[in-house]
Amino acid sequence: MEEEARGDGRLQTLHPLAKFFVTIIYLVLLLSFHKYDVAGVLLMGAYPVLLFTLGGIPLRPMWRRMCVILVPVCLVGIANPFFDRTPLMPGVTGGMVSMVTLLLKGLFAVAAAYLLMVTTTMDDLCRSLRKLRVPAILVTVIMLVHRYLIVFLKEVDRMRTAYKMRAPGQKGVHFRFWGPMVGMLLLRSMDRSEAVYQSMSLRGFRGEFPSDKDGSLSRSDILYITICILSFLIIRFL
Amino acid sequence: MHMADALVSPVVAGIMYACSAVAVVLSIRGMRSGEEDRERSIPLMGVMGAFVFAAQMINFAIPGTGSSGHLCGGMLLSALLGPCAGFLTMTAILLVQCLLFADGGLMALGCNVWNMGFYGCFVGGFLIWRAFTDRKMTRGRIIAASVVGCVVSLLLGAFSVTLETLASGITELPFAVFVRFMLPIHLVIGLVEGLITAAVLVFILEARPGLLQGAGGPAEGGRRMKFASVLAVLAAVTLVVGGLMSHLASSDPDGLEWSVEKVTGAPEIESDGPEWAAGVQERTALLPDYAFRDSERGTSFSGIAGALAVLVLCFAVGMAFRKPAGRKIETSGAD
Repeated sequence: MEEEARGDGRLQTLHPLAKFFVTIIYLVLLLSFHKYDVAGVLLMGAYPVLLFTLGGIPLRPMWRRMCVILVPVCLVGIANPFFDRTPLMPGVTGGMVSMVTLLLKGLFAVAAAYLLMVTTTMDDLCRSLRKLRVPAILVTVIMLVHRYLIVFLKEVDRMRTAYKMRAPGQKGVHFRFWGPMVGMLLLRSMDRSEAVYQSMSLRGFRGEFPSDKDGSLSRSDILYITICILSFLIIRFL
Repeated sequence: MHMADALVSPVVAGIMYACSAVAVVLSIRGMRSGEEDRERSIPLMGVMGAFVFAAQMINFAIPGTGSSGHLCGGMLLSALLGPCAGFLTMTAILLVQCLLFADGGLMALGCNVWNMGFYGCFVGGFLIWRAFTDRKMTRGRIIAASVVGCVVSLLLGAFSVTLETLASGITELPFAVFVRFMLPIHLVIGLVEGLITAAVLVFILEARPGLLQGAGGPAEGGRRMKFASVLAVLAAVTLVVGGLMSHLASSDPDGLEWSVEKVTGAPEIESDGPEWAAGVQERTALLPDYAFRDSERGTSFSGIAGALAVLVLCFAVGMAFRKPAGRKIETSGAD
């Protein structure tokens, strides 16, 4: 996803703050639709569909993420047809309609958030958060978590492989090894953090990562924001 | 317990964002004030956040069930970094999970931070952890603190999810049904997480006890109240509750009286017991029904008098069962 975000497509070159702002407005308006307003929610689906098409962004990685989110949404929505039997049309109850609306909202919300991340690097997004006055300490921690995530995931993968080779056929980690396995990883993490702090201090770290990128919005960014927000408002209120 | 965007309305999302934002600001202020300390703790928080993220990928087999659980991390982070730094780290983890893995919605991030970060770090990792381990840090206390902390924080989080979803008008499920569905599942999850957290913290206690909050140095940003101040506050609260708030007590029958009335048609049942017992009670009850005899007044007086009576009784029992102080063994300088 980071590689895709570093590309030079039309969406990737937009200012991260513009994309973040449009995504938030889209989500607020999408979630504000009434539970029976299927038509309105369907129209809002035009935004992610257009952006996927214009940006040439592959859909398959998004479907995997979709499944993670849609399962709990389905579990919550599945009760609606049983408890809400308000007749809206012959053979169609309010519960059925609200369940469909809920699923569509879930689908489009995930698509909008995915579009933001696949066209914006985490570093750019964090710099935008800093411009929105999000405290420096939180933004820096987010960047560090993102940076060291891959390192630790690889380390956990190695530990899991080593354990599987010593305990073939065993599902998961035996409870006798819960503490030592995670505990050793934890101790290594704490030692690593000290080394990280020393190397960052040597490079002049003073609580925040400075940025050399220009922060102002260009004409195309402002045009993008204006067109998107106007379209959302028209769909929502007209 | 990660909530999707579709499960919250903009109003509820906005309110929870505001609550979480306030908690974030207070946490940043609550961290140690020295510039160097704060700078030093940032890489630690970042690396620990990545560690918790990675540790969540490990599946722990639960014996006898065929299923598995995984670490959540709020309680663990709080026990190692302190509640404020732990909460900020959990916020960072939840944001990265939301953006990179779509685990939880962007609009629902405020709810997720509150449900998992706030309860895990401040309720479980601060109140419960301190209550168990403040005086002494032992294996048993760590296990108890971890299990109780994880269970309580997960149940609170699950209850909050129910309230937030219902307040958003998303589901037609009745409140009682929703709660009955959510809480038992999260009780089991909390138990598993508590055991995993306990296993890790016990390992740390044996390997490097100084890393645990409260095991060595002063707690993060902590100022301990003096015992006398605590007593004074509790006494004042007792006076207010017993003397003033007792007037707000409902006049409706309590649960037992209500049940008896529904079954028998009358709020009380005639007693078949010995008459002398009723006579004793009638003579000893100085404030029958929390009022002066033959009067409906006296509720405030009853509240305060009752609290004082309990205090005196508990003090007397405590003094009676107190361990005798160890005798000083005097040694002479030379044998």
